[in-house]
Amino acid sequence: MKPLTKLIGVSKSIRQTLLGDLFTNKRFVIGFTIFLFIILLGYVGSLFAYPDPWKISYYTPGGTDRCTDDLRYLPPSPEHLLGTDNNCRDIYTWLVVGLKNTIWIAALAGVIGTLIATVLGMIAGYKGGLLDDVINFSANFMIVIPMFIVLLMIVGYVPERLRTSMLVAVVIGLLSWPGPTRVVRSMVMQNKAADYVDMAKLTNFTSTEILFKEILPNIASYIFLIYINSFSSAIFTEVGIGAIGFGPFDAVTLGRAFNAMLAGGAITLGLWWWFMSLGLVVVFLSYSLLLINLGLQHVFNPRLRFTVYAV
Amino acid sequence: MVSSFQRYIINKTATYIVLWFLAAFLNFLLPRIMPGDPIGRYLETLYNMGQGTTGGIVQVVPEAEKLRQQVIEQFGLDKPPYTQFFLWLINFLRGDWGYSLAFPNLPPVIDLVKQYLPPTLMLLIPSLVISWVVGNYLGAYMALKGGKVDKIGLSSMQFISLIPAYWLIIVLVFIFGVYYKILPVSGKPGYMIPSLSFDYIKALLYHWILPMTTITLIGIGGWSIGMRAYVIYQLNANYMKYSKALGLPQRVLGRYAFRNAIIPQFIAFAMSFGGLFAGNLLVEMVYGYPGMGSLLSMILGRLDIFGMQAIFTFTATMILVANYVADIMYGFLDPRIRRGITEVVE
Amino acid sequence: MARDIVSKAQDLRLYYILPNNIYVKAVDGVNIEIPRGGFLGLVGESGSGKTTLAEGLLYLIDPPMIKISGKIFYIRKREGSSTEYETIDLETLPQHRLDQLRGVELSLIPQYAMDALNPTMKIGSFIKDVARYHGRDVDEILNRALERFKLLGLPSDILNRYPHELSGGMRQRTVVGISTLLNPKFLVADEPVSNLDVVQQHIVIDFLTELVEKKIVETLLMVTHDLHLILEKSRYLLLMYGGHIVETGSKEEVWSEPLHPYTKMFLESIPPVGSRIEEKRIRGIPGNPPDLRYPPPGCRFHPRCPFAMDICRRKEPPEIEVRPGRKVKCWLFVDRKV
Repeated sequence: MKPLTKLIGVSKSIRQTLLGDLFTNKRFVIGFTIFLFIILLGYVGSLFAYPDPWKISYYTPGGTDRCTDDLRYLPPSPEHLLGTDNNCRDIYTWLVVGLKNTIWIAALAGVIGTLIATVLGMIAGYKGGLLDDVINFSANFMIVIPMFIVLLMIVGYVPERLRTSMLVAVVIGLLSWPGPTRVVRSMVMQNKAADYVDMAKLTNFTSTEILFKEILPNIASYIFLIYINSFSSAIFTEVGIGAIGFGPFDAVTLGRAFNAMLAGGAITLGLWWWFMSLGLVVVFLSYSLLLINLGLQHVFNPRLRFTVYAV
Repeated sequence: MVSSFQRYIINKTATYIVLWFLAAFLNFLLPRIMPGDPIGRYLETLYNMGQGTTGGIVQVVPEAEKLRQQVIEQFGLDKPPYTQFFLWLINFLRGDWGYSLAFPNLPPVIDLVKQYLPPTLMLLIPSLVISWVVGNYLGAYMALKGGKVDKIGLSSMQFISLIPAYWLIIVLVFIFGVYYKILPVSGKPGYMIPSLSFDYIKALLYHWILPMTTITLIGIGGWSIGMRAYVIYQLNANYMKYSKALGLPQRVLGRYAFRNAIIPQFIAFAMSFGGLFAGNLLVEMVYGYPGMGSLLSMILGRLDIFGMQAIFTFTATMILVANYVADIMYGFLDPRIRRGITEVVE
Repeated sequence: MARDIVSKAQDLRLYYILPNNIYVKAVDGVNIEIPRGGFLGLVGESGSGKTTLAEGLLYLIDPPMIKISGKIFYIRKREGSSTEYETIDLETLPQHRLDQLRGVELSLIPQYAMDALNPTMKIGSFIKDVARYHGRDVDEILNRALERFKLLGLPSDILNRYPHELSGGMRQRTVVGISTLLNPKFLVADEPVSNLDVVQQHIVIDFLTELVEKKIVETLLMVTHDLHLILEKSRYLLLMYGGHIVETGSKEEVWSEPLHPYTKMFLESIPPVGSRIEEKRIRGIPGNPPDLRYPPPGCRFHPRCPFAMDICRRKEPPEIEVRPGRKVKCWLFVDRKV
């Protein structure tokens, strides 16, 4: 059966204006530009990085692969754009490699979290009853306990050799469903009462069909917003646990780079380019995602479009 | 006959007791289902302390297996899991939180908490209060003022609230510790032994300024954004339009909006405790401030399951108590709940 | 001249701004003079812009509502004089002077009366604030409120209650009481009985009628879609359609000789009072009211009008003053005037 939303939902012309609106939305455009720039830093930027972040002997006069004091803590130069660290490794390479890996971890964690939230939220919101009670209670419980502490507990127990990027991404994803689930649930509940769902019921759609063909397309834009949110907070989480040495052990990530920076004594030695570059990448990445999110919200939800004042 | 407000309190109390049991059970379960060999790690620690070298004792020492059995019996790890759980729960409630495997002298976990918790609370409580007050004031100001003030204010607050605390403290340490050399570069108050002596407290305060500034600044960002949204929501409510139609002056409308917007901020105040505690752990670890964060990083690093269990349960208890207080407080503040209409809570 | 008019709007356009720069032209070029004294009615279907115009008369214009053009005046007796009147331009009036007028001389019973009260304030505290900020004696006003609330059939402990402790109907009546508490000269009542049962409707209408008859409220403009009520009570009618005022006149004139085709059809659409359901044949007006985002060109009523001519589809009709106070906005009457 042809989904009814095709007939009474958003028409194509409105979709086109939505897209047009998006690119006239200042916040979205600024956020998107910064985001693109950072992604490019990761991908195009890695063309200017060394292939192996662990290797120490690049551009050393004698071609040695031993780390000697004259190769340690080098200031930024054309050979080493951000200098070298205490182990004579190229900081710039760590930054771009870490950025790429962290983005992948966060993207995966976001997918997992959003997927769980969508499924649980749709079940809870549409079916109601005991299932709803159980899901809602668990979500509320998980919200009360700070996820970061549970995450620390889990990664704290896992031996280093098992702590892969994949595992960290999965764990972050598995822990990030409660808030989004509540959002999806309340949106499904709102949509359940909408006219088009009543119409679908009259035309003998099964609940699964209604959920996936009617309700899901209608809340898809919000689910995308949730995804961006989860993505953004996963970046924060990865860098956070990585910074204190509990991040993935199999790859260089931004968190790992943070950890190396702390261990390398960047602060006390005053190597500002080291910690500033790492921090600014994280800050601007999350700021750009926030701007994108606000811009999208603005376009998706007309009610938010006015900062309306009664006074 | 119980009033609806009493029913509300009883309901909340029951919910929170169930939540606490769940949290305690989770804390008990997690370390037991996780891979890793905490006892082996503990034996290693013991061995290293004696030998001053590193190496897998399990392979090296022939009596390792015997030692392991000894430890297992000593800690009651051979008993059935549910017995272990209830024994542990009862002991936890009695204040017997077991002994930390992270330190060779096996100090009681509760003593560690007694030592490391006060510096953390010294950081959290003033920072929470200051950022809450300042943030609410700023948020309401932005919302009531509108226009450019609001636009610029909101953007900068959004930016501030996005700065990771563990990075902001690095920048602050660089500026004030390394560049101007007026504040310490590390949170450790020298080699002093934690105590209640005047000198120690003075040293602690000196090392307290930077982490305090860091989490307060970031807190202000979050609180002001929330308050701004609540005030704008109130300003758009129908009662506001009506009050305006009756000729009540702007300052009165602002007061109404503030008063109604601050109610959810009260509950958020207590609820934020958990998140703040977690965020603060990172700041402490990065700066080396001698609080719960530093304790936790030692315990995590050495796979101390008793320490972890106790500290996580303690943390969960604190957070649940804060949330419980928030819920009850909200009931007092909002006349709708006080009179028993609970569907308006959200 | 000025003494006969209490409120005046000139070329008033009040739009709501929607996403994608779409405007809802809720009030689109309205010129009205509201006569002073008595019970008046502003009538129209829902979505015709009545509420917007009503709020506009108190200059309650806040985003997303914006004023595109026009002026709004309030005319009152000059202080200390019994014969002179002054015309006040509400737009240029400083905010604090506007606040001093609202609630005191100009007042509104809003359409959203059900949730017009501050949820965390007792009714009494709110009334105290109203009295205090208009410089009135708080105790006197509270006593008056109690008297009036009694007339409105509200319980005596109402001042100590929160809005959520009252039923919807009680809240609506409370708002009626508060809006009239400071004896406003000009009261705009926007559907004041819409959510009430029949008994409560009578209480509120009798209450308002009494205030008008005792000259406590000098002029009452009742905004409604309920023609029965208006025909029973009011002496003067303003009919609104699609953001325009299409006809004005005394009740007798409009009733006996409706000019605008819309008025005719609107009057015919209601069954006579007392007719039994089976007998009456409701003759609704064919077609739908205009979408005020994209109003039809020319006369707003032409798609539904049986007398529509070519010009009606192209050009907006002018307002024709048949007699003083008797106006119609329709091309059919252009020749008659000439």
